[in-house]
Amino acid sequence: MMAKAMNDEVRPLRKYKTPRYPTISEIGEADLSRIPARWSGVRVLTSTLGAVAMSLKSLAMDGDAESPKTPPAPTAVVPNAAKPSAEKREAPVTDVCPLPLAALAGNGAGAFGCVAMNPPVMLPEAEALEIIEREFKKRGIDLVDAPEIDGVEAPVSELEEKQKNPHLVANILLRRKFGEEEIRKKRKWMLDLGTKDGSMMIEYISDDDERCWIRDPERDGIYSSVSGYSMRRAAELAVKGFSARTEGRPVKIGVFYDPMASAPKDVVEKRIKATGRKLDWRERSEIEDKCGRELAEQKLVAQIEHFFDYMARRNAPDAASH
Amino acid sequence: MHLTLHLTDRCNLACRYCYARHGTSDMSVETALCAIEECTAGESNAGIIFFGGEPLLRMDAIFEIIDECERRRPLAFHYKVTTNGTLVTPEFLSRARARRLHVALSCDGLPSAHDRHRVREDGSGSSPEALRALGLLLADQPYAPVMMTVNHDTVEDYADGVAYLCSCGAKYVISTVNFQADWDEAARRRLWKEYKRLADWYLDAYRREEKIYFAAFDKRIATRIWPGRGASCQLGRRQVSVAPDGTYYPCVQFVGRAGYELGRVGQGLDVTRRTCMFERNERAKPLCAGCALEGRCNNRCGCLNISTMGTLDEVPPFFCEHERFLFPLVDRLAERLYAERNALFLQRHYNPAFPIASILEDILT
Repeated sequence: MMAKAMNDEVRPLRKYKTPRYPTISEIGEADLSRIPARWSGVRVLTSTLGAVAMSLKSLAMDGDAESPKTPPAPTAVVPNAAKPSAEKREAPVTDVCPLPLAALAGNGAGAFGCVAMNPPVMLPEAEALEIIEREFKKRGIDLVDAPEIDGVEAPVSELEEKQKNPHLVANILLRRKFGEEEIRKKRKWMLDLGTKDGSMMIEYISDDDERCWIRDPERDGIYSSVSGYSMRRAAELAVKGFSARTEGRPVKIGVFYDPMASAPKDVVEKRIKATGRKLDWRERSEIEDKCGRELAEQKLVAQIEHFFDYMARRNAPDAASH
Repeated sequence: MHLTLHLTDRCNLACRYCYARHGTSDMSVETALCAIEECTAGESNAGIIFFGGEPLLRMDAIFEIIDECERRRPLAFHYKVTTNGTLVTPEFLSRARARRLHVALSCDGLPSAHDRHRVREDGSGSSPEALRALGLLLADQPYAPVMMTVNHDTVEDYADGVAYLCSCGAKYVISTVNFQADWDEAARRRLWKEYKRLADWYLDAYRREEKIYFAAFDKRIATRIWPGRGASCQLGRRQVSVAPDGTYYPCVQFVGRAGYELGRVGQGLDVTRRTCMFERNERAKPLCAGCALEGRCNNRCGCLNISTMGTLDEVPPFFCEHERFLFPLVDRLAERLYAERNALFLQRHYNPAFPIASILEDILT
């Protein structure tokens, strides 16, 4: 993908994952009854707000023709897994068993910050999903928004633990100290893309996702001017999490990740030389960025090829000729 | 209906990025009242916004207009003024409070960033006056919005500037990126970085249950939660600008722009012309066809498009890039807060009674 095209043109975003937080018509009563702790001492607020919120919500929605008037029932509280959006998603897939695979190309690791030399280029989720859709389409597979799947084993966030029981803070600190594994629990998960029949699904690990899969005590809670990422490790952990699903019919899950490519110095120098003039640091850094993006795209395409090769080798004709 | 009265095109500052055409014209009180009468006929309520130039150069006119409007009840009016703060005094605030005039202050965050562009004729910075005004204003109107402009050469102070304003007591920060400025690759990258820092700050503030409103994030979150709201500019329909000479325009950045006049005070608002302009602006932008952010992105902001592209029909490429970056960031942020079932997030964004509850809390605690 050319950075030039990104910066100098209006470019519609073809693919955008439905946000995992509800619209006003989807929010449940249980959620609206949550009151900030700072209000807890003010009785008039706590006693009236919940009821007022629901009735005002209905009133506010009366003028909104797009919104259904009956709010759905509340769902369980699980991070990274809001219920599916009413507009686009199909019914949740149940009774499936996994065949997940992390397609590997690029080390997907790097750091940004004051002492990071030659920092890699991040491939944002929206752009990556466009590339994935395009590559699948070349193979005759149309991808749509993926439905929610259940039974994915993912790390429990520290915050979740603290919210459940504030006294657990000491336990968290002890676990950190003795290097014990973090707590995992089975939960719902919304993947990025999937086929219409739900037999194949795709997850792309971006910088945000990486933070969901890797709970690194050395990193969490430490404020530093350098941020490190390990996308490939996160992809492998995601595969493990998806593999924990054990029941029902198989579903193929391809896990791709941000390759975090850094353009090789010689390629960058060659490009700079080709301009035929002396460039200032900004122009040099733009060229470096462009080269990095192109390389990131190549590596993501290589991951997709790896995925299809693997599928073909595993005698999965339905996948290859979907 | 909102009526923006450009009471004067005079200003006591010479801000380097200002889009307004400075001159020596003032709007007479009679013109203002006639405009109000023409534009609010048949309405049950109306907002009157005093604008400039620097509107407080016409302080007495502001209060005269308000007093006259109040005599015309039962039509309910609400009043706002946006000022650079140089003329804000306790006396002014006292008069404003008596008339329920809401004051918004322009302040670009850190004094160093503010003084880079918000300068006097002699080039000296106006941050001492702005910060003095901020203190006075927030003591009097704790929810007063602070309007912050972010330029390519002040972008590195963006996140620090917002945090600074909040540390001064501001609860409502409305930041505007100056899309007319020269945003090169390095400045753009820095802007993305600043937004990421702001996202961390916002998350942290919500976790601490600190009530803040940061328009760049909150408005975008609202477009997801309340579908169909916020994406339409309603050019000329929701509000009309009146130039000092009494010419009507569809919005503030159109004032003085030939070809966009909507009539003159005394002769009435040209409703047909206004409808044509509105409909032209509402038409889908050809280059945006098929964009997944359609309906959420503010690509129909008439002021943005006219000031950067010179036409209503095109969207500036940098704005497009900005939205493609910011929406995913903001949505991830909201997802995180929702996943945590952050009570302040849920109340602020989903509870229409939140503003009342928030004020009640401040009164009772």
